[in-house]
Amino acid sequence: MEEVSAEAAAMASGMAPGAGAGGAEGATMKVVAAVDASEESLHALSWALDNVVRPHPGASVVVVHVQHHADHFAYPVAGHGLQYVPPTAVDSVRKTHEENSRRVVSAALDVCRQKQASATAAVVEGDAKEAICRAVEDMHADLLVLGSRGLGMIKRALLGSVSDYLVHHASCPVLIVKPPNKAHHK
Amino acid sequence: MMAETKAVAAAVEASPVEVEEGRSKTVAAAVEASPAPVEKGRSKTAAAEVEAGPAEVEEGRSKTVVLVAVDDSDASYRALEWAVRHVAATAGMAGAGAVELVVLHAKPPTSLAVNMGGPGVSGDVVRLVEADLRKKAEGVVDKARRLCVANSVQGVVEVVDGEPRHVLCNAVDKHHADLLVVGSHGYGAIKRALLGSVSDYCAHHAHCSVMIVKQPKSKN
Repeated sequence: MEEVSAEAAAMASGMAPGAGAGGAEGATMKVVAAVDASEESLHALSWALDNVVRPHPGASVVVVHVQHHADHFAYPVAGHGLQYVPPTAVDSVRKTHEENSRRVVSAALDVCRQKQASATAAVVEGDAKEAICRAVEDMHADLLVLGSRGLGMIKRALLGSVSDYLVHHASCPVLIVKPPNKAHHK
Repeated sequence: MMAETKAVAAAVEASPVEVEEGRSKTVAAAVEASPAPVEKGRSKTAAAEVEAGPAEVEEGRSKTVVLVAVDDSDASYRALEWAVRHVAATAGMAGAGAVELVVLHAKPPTSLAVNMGGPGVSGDVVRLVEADLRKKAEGVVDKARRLCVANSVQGVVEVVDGEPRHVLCNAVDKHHADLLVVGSHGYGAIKRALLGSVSDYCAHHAHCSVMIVKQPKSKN
């Protein structure tokens, strides 16, 4: 929602004084990494930290997690199927989502800490691809890092690929990190 | 040395329980003599291998191979610039964390370009198109090299014939690239469906991480 992203943007910009104007290349580079509960996204974050952030002393990292929206009566369960959520249950569902978000974000921040990269986190709500796109714009990111689930063509068409959408709509370069078994080594 | 051990082993086997003093001495001496040199030789080689191993492995591990695709479009030169500034800034320098930069231009097959002209194309036209493609390729190579030099980065520039999407993905395998950087023309959905997007293809089929550098557009 508006509040969350405004807060997040303020927090992010507060914590990263150097990165301001969009397109500011060179020493300060703002890297936004989208994470969810999957191993691939954490691996993507870790790969980006090793290969893009480390050579850049002035780079700042923002970890973005899109929290499932819990206000609707019917919401997609794991991408397929609809479920009716009675109004009384919405609160507890929302709490579960928040708990999940916290777990994902702390796992991501742990990875950053292990690699000795200072990072901030932002949690946004809404449709994943649009929310990340908006976050990238708001934060004036210089790079967006995504994991790739390696879905085949059909699954991609049916489930909708977040990375496909973002590659074409994000306002900054996009790095798609493949899972290690797909990549050659490392 | 192997022959010696074999001979010794045969000798040992051949003379089991009933061993005369003389023979056993010789055998014993032989047994004593040969394993040592064989071992020494073996361990030396093993040690040398082990020494060479970690060094090689370290080099292989710490060297990141970045492959950048260029195709004479502004988008791709921008991708090369981005790569050179942000990922391959240390390309060509020695030491741990070294980055190897390979710039690849896929020269589209002449047949593809000529077929688009329609049927009944004469041999002259083919030659002209071929010459034009080659000249363009040289221009791309030159521009790429100048870009590298301008950013004080050492890189290898290659031209490979073939359809860009396959050339790029094969090159990733050949060079064991860790990262493929491509520009994006920023085609809309329809153009992409009709013309086919190389960056889309590579993003899904390349066996390494892919960076897609887009033109900074003024957001709608």
